[in-house]
Amino acid sequence: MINITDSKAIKNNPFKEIGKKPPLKYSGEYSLKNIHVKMRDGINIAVTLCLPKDLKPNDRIPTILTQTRYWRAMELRIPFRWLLDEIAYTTPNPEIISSRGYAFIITDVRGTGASFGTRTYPFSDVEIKDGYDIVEWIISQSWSDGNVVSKGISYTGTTAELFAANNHPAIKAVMPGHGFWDPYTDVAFPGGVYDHAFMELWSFLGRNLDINNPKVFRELMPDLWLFVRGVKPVDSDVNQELLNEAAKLHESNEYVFEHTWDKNFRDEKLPDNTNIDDLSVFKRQALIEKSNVPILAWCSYYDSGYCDAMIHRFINYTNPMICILGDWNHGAALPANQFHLDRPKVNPSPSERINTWINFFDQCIHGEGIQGKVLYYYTIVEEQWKKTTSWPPAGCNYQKFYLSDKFMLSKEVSNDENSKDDYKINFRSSSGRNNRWWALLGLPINYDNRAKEDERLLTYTSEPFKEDVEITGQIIACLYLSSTHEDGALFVYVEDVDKEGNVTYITDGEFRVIHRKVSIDKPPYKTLVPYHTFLEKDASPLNSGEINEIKFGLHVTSVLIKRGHRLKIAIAGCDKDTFSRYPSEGRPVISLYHSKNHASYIDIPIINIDKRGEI
Amino acid sequence: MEDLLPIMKEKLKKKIEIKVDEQQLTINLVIKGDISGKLLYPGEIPIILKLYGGLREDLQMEINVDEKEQTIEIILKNKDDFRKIQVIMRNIWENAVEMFEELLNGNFDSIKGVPDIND
Repeated sequence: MINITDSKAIKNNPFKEIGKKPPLKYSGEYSLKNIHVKMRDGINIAVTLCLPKDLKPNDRIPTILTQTRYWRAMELRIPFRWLLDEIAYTTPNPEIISSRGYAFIITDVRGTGASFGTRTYPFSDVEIKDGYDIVEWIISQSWSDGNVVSKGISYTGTTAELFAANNHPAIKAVMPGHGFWDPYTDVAFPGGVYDHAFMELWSFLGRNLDINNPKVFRELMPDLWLFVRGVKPVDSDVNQELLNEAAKLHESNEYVFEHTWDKNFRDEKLPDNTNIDDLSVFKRQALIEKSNVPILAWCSYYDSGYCDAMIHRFINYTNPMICILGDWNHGAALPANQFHLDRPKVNPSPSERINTWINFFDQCIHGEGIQGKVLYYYTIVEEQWKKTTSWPPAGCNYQKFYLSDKFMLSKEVSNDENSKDDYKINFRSSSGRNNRWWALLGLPINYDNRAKEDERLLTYTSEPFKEDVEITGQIIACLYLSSTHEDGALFVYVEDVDKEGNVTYITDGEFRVIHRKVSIDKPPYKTLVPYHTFLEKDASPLNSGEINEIKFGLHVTSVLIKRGHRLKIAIAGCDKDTFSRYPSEGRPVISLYHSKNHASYIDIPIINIDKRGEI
Repeated sequence: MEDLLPIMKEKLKKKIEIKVDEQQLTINLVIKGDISGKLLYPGEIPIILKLYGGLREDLQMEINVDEKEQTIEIILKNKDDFRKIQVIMRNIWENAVEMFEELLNGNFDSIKGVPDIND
């Protein structure tokens, strides 16, 4: 745990550095209203409006908007309903938002919750445009000062980011937390491998939320199952007739799993002649940049591919921005630092976080705004916040570690002409259900001691490090392999081995081998890892017995490998509880080469010790 | 909510007064102060007795609700049933809060023994 009395711990900590908490403007007590607001096409969107109770008639205040697909407000079970209000579960610390002089509005996006309309896929242009209509409604209210900002986590993080694409002059800042940049690589098909578990469960969750049926969530979201009766209807809908009508309409919604489970490529068609890129943030980059709205984006190294989305935002956007990469779970409800699994509480606390977000909004609305770009990143094991204006950070140099004989990782290339290891894919291997992908459902992240699981995998381990070494950035894996089958997937885990032999997960990367062609085409956005198009035309099945180069990036990390610890690479061919199986039948044997001419390696971004933490 | 969790049990104790009449086999709940939404939905009492109280069986009971006075009257049919509910009511709110905390901390095993419900 960071000791905040330690000046080193405060330095570069975004939760200490961003803005300043001014004297409170209101008591923190608030009133709630649940109403329908009509959109341009007559569709009613359900809105929960939260205003300071002690707001005076002439007071004008800014608004924080969140647009969700997971119910804006909930009817709780007793006794919680007798004690807590309908946003207690959906909105952390509304009293802080209220006391600091903001109205808070949360909406059910079109086709969800108590809103009317239907949806074919998420983050559509129609859904984004609803944000424009909501702003128009907000600034027409007597209490509004004409300024609107948006924040959210996960789905609502993406709606917050896409909100800027509306280019409405009232929008002053957006704050996407834990959201994707590229849904193909960040969540649905990381490395071209289908995240079957999440996509199926997320669609199941969405469908049942949309028809107001929380009864089915016992396994998936037990908190919802146990404490929530359903979505909160609008206040005038006493007998829930409107809610039932809306839920009936939602039965015709479509869900991503049914359109993606049998797909492989980025360019395969989804409904309405779209493809997965049409859901993305990167496709709206130009619109978001046109707004020049300041962005505060935040995420965790341990969160799916959303951690890489942070890097892509940082290196692609021209907007003024603050990025934060920490060590918590998806949404930061729980700690997730794999080197400190015993930590009871997440740091910073939810109230510290919300105050920081409001400091940022204050700065954008009432202050001098944000200039330039800065990325705050937390180095695990060193347990230290740092910040940088460039990525990779200053002092970063890539160092190759070669796979070598006796399952060692070495800085030297082997002189052997033919050395290789054969590995029969073990289709029982799994990183469990508390991994970075299941975490998207809000679950705790725990890879545990991986020593046992590694026994199923092909592993290579370095000598003990002679000094502390900081790894910050995206590790690149370059593997030379042949296979008995033309399709397959690779999962490369990077781990720390301590002096007692405990194996701690650092990061990983996954890749489907048919996508291996490294493209020289211009990518749709800047990226720091080998560019694979994932297009159907570029797919290249393996030829039996032929040695192929498979080169791909792993998920971003920042970690200190301590003196005396070893670095370990564990290679799997499946992650059975999360990803689809490739090939769908058969059990390939792969040969992984570490010879003079086919020297498989991992390329590790190491930070020069003298440059660490510099801005 | 994080601030409220440590004091939620205490708040619920103050919020809900439980009056027991052994002669009439009646348990009265009086909910004090403002509440958000409906006082009670049909069938909600038997459900929370199972969810938070560990009740495994369907007991016959009559439930009368006064939305205005915010009172709920639970009338049991016999002494045995009355005793069971009386015991459950002693710490049902504490149980509910503890289960809530466990789930918020990611401990989903804590609800393993909770029976299925259908409301």
